[in-house]
Amino acid sequence: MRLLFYLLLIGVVAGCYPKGPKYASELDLAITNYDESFDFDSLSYILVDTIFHDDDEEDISRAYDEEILQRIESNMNNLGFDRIPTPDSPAGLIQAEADVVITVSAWSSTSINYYGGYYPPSWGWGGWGWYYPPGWGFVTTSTYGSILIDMSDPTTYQNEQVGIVWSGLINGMVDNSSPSSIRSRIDTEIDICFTHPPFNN
Amino acid sequence: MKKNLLTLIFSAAIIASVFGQDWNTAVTYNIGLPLGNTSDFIGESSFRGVMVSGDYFLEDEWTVGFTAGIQTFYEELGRNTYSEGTVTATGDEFRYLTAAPFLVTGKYHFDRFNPISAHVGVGAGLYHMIQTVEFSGLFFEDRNWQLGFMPEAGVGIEMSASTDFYIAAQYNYYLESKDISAQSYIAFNVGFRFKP
Repeated sequence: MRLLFYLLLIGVVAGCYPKGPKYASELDLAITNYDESFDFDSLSYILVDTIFHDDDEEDISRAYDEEILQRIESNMNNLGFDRIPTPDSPAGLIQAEADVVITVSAWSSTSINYYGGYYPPSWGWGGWGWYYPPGWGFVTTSTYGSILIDMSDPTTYQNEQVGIVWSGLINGMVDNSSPSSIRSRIDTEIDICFTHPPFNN
Repeated sequence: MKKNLLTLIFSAAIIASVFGQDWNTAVTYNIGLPLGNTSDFIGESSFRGVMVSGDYFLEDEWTVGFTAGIQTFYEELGRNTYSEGTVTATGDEFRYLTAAPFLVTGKYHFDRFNPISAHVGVGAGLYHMIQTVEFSGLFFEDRNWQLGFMPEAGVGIEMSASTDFYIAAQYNYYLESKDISAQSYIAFNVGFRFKP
């Protein structure tokens, strides 16, 4: 009886272990990095108007592409930067003499989570016992979507490579999220990227 | 690791039950109040704690024994932005701190055979610490065994010949280790003490 009381209390407290994020939006992440030596004042920019989907199976919807590009343009314009029309060919990116060229890419990834055979592995009550069989457990998968916004300096172009002066990465779980929720979260995270240094100086 | 900690505490509960034939044993629900570096890391009190203890009487006043338990602190800090050099990250932050003391104890009991009996004591030993920051799905975790000590005071109120209602307050302090700074918290214990 005494042991049962001990185990019951410990079990109740263990069951109350905090769970962390409750909503998909609480897993949203915005990370930026920039080149300190580059002058970010008064930029002219080209925004490449096609998003590169790094995904052979095309399982990332292109439904959000136009909105992503518009949101980036809106943020750049709000910062006082001037958009130059996107050239018709990649070669034009160099000839257009913009201070920076913005390219956007997107991809998805799958996270595999295993919950298995939790404590206690084997214990009994009143002559009855139970245990988890080998391999017992649950596997769940979560799909994450990522968007990478790169700002490159076309004057550094050499050997088909160009130097990145600013990057913004947003990442979020897209499972069980409505399109309107995903749109709203993408907008929020893009906006946040443009509040980070050096744009908040 | 949490499974391993629970295994140890389950073991302590079984030992307390078996040794209960000759020992005073107690099991309590604990509320933790963070202090010092602990409150800098997590400001909120913990309502997730449990402790098992056993006391063997050397004389009518003096006991030696053990204490084992677990206390989990948790706080949701919401949206935060951090910068390191030119890198800046914004995400939702969740902090966890689990303290699991495994201590040997010595206690002095006032009026052991009275219906209301008080004690003071001190424990010393190891605390297993797990300090975790979850930042939008990214985990940053430090874990360590740290030396610590725990002065305490408590009162037992007799409910029957073999059972007391039991309350105690314990100041837990554990020393700095390689990855985790010195931490402290007060645990308020409420539970039952079983007498031989």
